[in-house]
Amino acid sequence: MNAPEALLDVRRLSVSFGRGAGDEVVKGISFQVQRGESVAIVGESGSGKSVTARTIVGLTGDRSEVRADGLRFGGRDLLSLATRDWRSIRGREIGFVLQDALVSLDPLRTVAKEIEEPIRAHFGWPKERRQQEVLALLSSVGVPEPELRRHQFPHELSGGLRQRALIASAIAAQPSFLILDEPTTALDVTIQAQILRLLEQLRDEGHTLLFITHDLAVVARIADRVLVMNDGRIVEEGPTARLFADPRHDYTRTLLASVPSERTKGERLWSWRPPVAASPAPATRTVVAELAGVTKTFRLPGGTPLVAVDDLSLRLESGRTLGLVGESGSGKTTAGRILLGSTQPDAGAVTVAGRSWATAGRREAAELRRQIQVVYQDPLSSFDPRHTVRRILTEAVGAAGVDGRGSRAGRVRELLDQVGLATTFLDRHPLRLSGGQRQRVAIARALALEPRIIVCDEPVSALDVSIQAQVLDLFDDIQRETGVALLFISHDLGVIRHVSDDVLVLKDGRTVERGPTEEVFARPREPYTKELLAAVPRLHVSTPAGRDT
Amino acid sequence: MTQARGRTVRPYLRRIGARALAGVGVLFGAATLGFLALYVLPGDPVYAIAGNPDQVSLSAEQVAAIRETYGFDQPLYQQYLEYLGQLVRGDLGTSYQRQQPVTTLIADQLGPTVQLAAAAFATTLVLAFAVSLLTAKRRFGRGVSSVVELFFISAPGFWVGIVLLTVFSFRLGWLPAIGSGGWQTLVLPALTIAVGAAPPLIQVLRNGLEDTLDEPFVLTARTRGLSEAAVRLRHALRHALIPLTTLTGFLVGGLLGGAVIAETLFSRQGVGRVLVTAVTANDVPLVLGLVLLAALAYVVVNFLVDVVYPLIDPRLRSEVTA
Repeated sequence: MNAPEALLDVRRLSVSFGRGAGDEVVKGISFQVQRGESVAIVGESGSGKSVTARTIVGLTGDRSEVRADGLRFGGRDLLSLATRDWRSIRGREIGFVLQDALVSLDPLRTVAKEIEEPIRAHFGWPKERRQQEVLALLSSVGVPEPELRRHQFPHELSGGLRQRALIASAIAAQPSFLILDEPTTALDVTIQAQILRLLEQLRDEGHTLLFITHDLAVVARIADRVLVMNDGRIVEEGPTARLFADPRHDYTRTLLASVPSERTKGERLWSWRPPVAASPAPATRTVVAELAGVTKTFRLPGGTPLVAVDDLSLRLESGRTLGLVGESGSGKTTAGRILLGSTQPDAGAVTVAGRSWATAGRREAAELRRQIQVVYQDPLSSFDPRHTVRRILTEAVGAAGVDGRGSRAGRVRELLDQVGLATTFLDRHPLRLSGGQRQRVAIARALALEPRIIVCDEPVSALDVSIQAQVLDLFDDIQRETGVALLFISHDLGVIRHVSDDVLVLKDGRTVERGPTEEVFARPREPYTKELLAAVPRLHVSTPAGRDT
Repeated sequence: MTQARGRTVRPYLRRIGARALAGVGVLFGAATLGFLALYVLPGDPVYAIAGNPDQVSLSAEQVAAIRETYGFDQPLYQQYLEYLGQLVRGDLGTSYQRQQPVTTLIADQLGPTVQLAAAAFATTLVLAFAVSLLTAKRRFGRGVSSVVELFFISAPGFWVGIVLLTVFSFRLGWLPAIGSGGWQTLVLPALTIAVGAAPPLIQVLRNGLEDTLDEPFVLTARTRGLSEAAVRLRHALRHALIPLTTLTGFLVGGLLGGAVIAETLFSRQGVGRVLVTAVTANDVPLVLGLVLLAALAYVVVNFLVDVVYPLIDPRLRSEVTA
């Protein structure tokens, strides 16, 4: 292993913030990356993977302390580098690509300015040559019409083009080693597939790649070797194929098992606890909400009309889940808002619990709002940060018409129990909760009104796989217990396949395909659906060990 | 591209047009409020015109004659309408005290004040940029600077002026103490104003810089091998400027208020001193004229900021973020 020196050699690296060993985020990890290799560090938020990546370029952050027995790159000792030497490595020898180009590119500067920055920093090239290089870089990462695109600002580009521009800026000063921190996380599946293809191209051109990601499927496609990180330690390491086929560490197994997909349909994602007993299934299906021929057009400031939802019809039945899939801009959120009565459609009928928003009077509308609740991706913005969980839930319970202090408090406890939170959370503020706990509180608040329908708008998109798995299990439990109808909006096809009974595929506001989930996923009829499904990176696992135990 | 540009320019122009209209509205409001406020104040304008009642004794006929000449015998609304009519024609009336057109009086004194305000403005910006860029995210520098800022926010402007005067002209003899000729006479007054106006700007700029320095795109810039100075100047500063625009009004007020104090203290010519004498003498037309001048300065500066704003932040040029 030590014969040819590794490009990157990390030995017993520890990173802490603040004082004391208790604050260690990275706890003595060791690994190597060979020239030309493609290695992935996989882990959930807080596992220390991003901190590790940043430490390699000397940008761990304020008030951090880095200790290691060795940290070498290309034969140089990184631990003894002066600021000036670090600068000569950053961008020139190690390129760094961050997640979500919308915030990782300076929003006030044109794409060309951003891309030529590493060139300016490292090569003393004249302006014309830099501009030529920017054009060449943009075409090499697959940006069409580079002449035109380079003068645009990040917000004027689509997500895919933006991410390409960010990658172009990382490779601009020709580094041979690239660190990619969640390079595809914020992207739609088809765009994600394109970016992965671009990364494969970079790998084939001889770049050495180090991926940081929580997305196991991305790893399966592109990495030669995987390091699994949990709580600051590398718990397992191995060649990608072996690791997925035969995970040896418990954490790796659980992680693999919690990815929702076709295999997990109808099963628990997280715990082996059997699902709660279903309330007796109703003999006939009851339609609780319906959209019929709904159209909504928005007018952009320039006057151009944008058809957000075009002639959409759908039905929600009690005890069943309808999955609404589509990429960003497909109109899925608008559809949800129309159902919730917060957006007025231009045409078509909306029926909720047998009544219509359009004809409902004030009192009737208030009653309707109790029947249909919503859970968003980021519940934090829907909570008053000064309120405690107790207050948030008590208000909701009060709105549901529960009178008397005692009975309200009792109902709040019941709700907490239903979403699997301990009563110790009652006096916490939303800011002090983790993403998964917040989402549980949001669900409890929705349940307080005993709604017949819950609109779930990307409710697990911001969560780590293991937390996502638990929240998805929770939705399943709740539906079995209460028979609530769910409209589940997501861009994640794996999640949709796992939770939905029926599925509806949207593109540019139009319904592309609909039907029972298994039918649509197994035998997609429309080219767009096929394209969407083909773009999903897959875990090449037959049956993960541990599932049959 | 041309199409895209057409789409983004039109809302921009429309916004600027709306802003200009709003500016006219502000001027109208200032004129009205100023007019009302001064008529509510105690003191008979007749004596403001003729002189102190203790020294001058006027017969009833004389008083009536003055009232008629200046239109004080007419009902308030008529005086108001007449006043507005004059304004539209660009006539600010005649000073009671000096018996000269207000426009002439102001025009004569405007030059030195504009010079002083410009010098103070430049000094304020240089101070604000330098201090905030040097102290953002630097624990020690930030701490020291915060104490100094707090001190100068609390210190009254005239006191700062006196200290500067004592040290730099009386003790060290480097700069002239009074007068309004040559650049040397500008230094101390400009500094007096800037030292009071800069600290709030420093704080807003530094907070803006610190927020921006935590942004992912700054991390990206650092991973490209940029120096700390380049990161701050090329990336962070522009973002920090955005919240600064909310302080425009404060800044204009600070410069004008500062000018009044500095001109008095350093015996400079200028509209600040004219204002002081006009207010003490109850010279209504002159005070109103100066109030309108201040409002105009405020409106013009705000308008300029609105024009420049989208140049700093391209996202404002098109309000669509699809």
